[in-house]
Amino acid sequence: MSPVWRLASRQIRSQWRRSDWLTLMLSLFMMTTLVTLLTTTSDRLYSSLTQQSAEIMGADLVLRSQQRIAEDKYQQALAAGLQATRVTQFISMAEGNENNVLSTVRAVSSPYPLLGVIKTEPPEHSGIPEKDTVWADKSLLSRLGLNLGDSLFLGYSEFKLSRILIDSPDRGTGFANFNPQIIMRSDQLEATGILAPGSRANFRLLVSGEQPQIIALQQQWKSTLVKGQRLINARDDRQLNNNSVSNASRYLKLSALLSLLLGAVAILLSLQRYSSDQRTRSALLLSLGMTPRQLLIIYSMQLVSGWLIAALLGTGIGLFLHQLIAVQMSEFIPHISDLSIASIITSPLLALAILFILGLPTLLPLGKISILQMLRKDSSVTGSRWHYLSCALLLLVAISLYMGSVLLALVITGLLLSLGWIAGFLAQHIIVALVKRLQGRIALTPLLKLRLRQQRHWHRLQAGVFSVLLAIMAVLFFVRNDLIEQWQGQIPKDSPNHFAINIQPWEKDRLQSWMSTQQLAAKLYPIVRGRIIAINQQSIGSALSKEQAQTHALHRELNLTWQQQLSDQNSVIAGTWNPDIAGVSIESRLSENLGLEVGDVLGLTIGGQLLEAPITSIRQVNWESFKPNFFLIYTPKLLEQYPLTYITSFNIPEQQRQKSTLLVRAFPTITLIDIDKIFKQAQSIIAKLADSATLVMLLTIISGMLMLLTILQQELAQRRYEGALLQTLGASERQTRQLDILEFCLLGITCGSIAAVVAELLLAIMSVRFFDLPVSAHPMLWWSLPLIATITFTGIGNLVRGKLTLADCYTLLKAS
Amino acid sequence: MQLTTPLAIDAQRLSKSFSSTDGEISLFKDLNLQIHKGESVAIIGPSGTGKSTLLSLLACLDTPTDGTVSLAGVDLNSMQQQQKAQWRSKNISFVFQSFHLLPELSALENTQLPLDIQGHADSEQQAKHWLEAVGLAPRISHFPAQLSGGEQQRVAIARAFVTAPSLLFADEPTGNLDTKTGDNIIELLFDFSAKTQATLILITHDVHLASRCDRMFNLLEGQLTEVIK
Repeated sequence: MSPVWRLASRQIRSQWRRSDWLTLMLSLFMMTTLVTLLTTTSDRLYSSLTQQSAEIMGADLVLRSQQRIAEDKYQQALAAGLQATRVTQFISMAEGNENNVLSTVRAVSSPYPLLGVIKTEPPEHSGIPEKDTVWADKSLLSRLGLNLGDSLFLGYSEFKLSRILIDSPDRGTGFANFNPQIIMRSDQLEATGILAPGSRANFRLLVSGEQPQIIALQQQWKSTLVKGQRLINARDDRQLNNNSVSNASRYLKLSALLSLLLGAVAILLSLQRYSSDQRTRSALLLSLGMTPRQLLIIYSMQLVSGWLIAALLGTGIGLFLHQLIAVQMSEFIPHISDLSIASIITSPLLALAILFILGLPTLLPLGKISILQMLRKDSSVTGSRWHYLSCALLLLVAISLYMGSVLLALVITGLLLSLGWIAGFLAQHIIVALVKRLQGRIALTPLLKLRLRQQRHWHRLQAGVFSVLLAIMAVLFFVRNDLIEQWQGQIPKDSPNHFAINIQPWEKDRLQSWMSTQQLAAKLYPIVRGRIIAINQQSIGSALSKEQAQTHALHRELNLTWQQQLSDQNSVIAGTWNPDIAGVSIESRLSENLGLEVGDVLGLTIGGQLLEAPITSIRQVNWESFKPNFFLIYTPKLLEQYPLTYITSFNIPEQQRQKSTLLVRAFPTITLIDIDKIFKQAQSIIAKLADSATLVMLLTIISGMLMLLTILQQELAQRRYEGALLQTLGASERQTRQLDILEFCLLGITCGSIAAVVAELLLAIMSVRFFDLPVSAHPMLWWSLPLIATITFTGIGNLVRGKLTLADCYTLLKAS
Repeated sequence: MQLTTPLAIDAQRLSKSFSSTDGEISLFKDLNLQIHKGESVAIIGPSGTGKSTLLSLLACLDTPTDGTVSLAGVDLNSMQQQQKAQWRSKNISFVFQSFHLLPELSALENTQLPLDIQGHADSEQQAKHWLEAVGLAPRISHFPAQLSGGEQQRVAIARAFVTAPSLLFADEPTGNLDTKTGDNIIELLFDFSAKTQATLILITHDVHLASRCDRMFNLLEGQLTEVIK
């Protein structure tokens, strides 16, 4: 072994006993653990989400149409090397055992589905029903009183019920998917005579295969879409947006960003302290004939070895914690996709990059150190401009990576740096002003003033870094709470767990009285179906831009209703709701997509007749209220002459489940939708997400504490020296400790207060920008942050400071 | 010492000044000093007169504001940084006031380190020989933390002589030691310098110690005057 390697290996082993090296390694370890955990979890959530989305759709890409889809589209998909299959879905009466039930029928051909599996009882793994057989939901069998093997009639054809459908992808959208479902072969559809030209049906072309080809085909088809056609990619962000899981994924990414910043600052400060302590050693090695290159090799080896231990250990622990979370998640995200290599190696590689980008500028000057260092005790270390520039650049790169946008990264880096600078500057002035107020009240004030003058540079740095980090941590905490509240708010207690649709007008009174005898509270909403065809007397083609005309709501019939007073889940944000002035209230996002304002006139066709009405108000709708919600609500009288049905939602308590069976028996034509399962799943997701978010929060707090420890260690030597000097000049141990505590308290209160202001600002910005949450004040911030900061500063400061006996003082002063 | 022996150090018209906010501060000006090979020379003077700065100029660790320094006829300041470092590591050794041993290396490893860096094959034998010479044979595997101050300085002396330097600079080598231990250390320094024909330049404020050198100079108010014993 060469002497350089031998010395390096000795140095590597011995440096683990040094507190500055240990802090550096701890920071590196915490950073890698957190970033690994957050990156892998967030990636897995996201990929599971996209996979799940594809499996729910039964394909990667779906072309939906209200007319038959031209054969060439099918051929184009096959020619692109993709799998494709056609599905026809329609609503029809299924007859059996002399009963009728409204059902949703899917006529399919092999291969089907392209993604996901159809679960049946008894199990069936080979595709689609055999000739002359159908598969049907259990609810259909129980409503018709049929068993497996019995006959079921669809139109003119008779089929044998061969399987019970337990679960299947590609159920379709809207209320159609809540009807009992039937799957039949498409080659037997024509014989049923159900679909005549002009019949209402939904035609789908499912496509699946490699993403690049899918995207290419999507691009190719996008421009050829005709009216009534829609193209949906399962991996499209819009499919995944505004969803608790994608919000959680974003929350994890933001936390990872914070961990990265915390880690980078802690690593930078530890490296500075470390390199400053290495000056004499480097000078000695140079005086013994070592070249700067050899010196650099030794320190690089030390960094690499540190990285190998700390970062790889961190990655291991991060992955272990991730597995714990993944096991929890497996209950609600059944398709746990494999972790990508990229998501596993991101964190350790990022740690290595940070260590070297921050480390080299700190350690390179050691090779140029003069042997004079050995003769004179000159310990001042000045960071080069390149050093600070590289740190800023590194921040930028790290944020760019996580945000996926250079501009956003520039804005955030600039914001953080200027916030830190302002906070540091402000804190210093506030502390000085506070001390002036203490003059004459506390005996230690003169000493405190001296201390402030001597520590002013450190205070500025400490306050700047700590205020901003405390603010960001508070933001993470409150965003987490807000998210959990939002998630839980989505499912209020006793919210409806059943929907009933297709209620005919003549059944309305009977149903209402039946429900009141059963003590079920429910409000019935009339439904009229209509399609938007004109805006301000112009056809939508000419009134809207091409992009606006793509809006999904224009390509289907909408459920319309009328109300005297708007129900609770609606809040008017423009115009007013007056039931006496004929008009329509439009949902805010739809009005935004179509560029509509109060006063515009909406023209709808209802059963072949045109209805025109001015928009009198725009509403925000709480779509997650589990109550019937509508894009368009008309004032009474406008819709009354049209054919209508009713919809309602209500809560059947767990112990009265039999009421749903009674309802279906009493009203066989009504479609009853049980959403309790969806509920339970949602509640479980929320609980698990909240647990994961808490774990992430705790780990981030530990990281923050570690960073504070690093900052306080920076000027520990100076602090101890000063304490020793004061004690030899007659001050007691107690007095010097009090002086330190007073200083820490002042720092804590000031940093906490500044952090509260910054956090409140950031929370407001983030609620709007990232999480789509309403802006609200957080009074808890105003007392908790100063308190937490004071306790943390004093606690960690006291810990770092240690006890300083008079004997220690002499030793310290003698060695200096 | 015969004045016919070649010069180990030849400093001509040496000046050193610093610029400060109050203007230029001159530490010393036009200093001349010739030291012959194998000679021992002490530089004394009160604190703050620039003794350590003069040592750093004589050892070519620092560049003078004006004037020249040649070591064994070689003008180091005209060399490239790399060459300078190489020349220095082969010909110069230092003994410092605060020992400066690497804590993670044993006495033996500390001693053999400069030879290891230079790539000598017999570094261990050489180091053992010098540790034996300073009286630390039984303690070669001990680490600095297990050695007393005097013992640590003895290891530092062994380390200084292991490369067989032609020039040895000692900056207050007994400053951190009690009188008795300090005397032993000085004894070793003089003894080894004489045996190896090394030129010894000793910086100290201890006149008693300085008087044991062949010649003694006093640095006071920027002037270097030889003290006639």
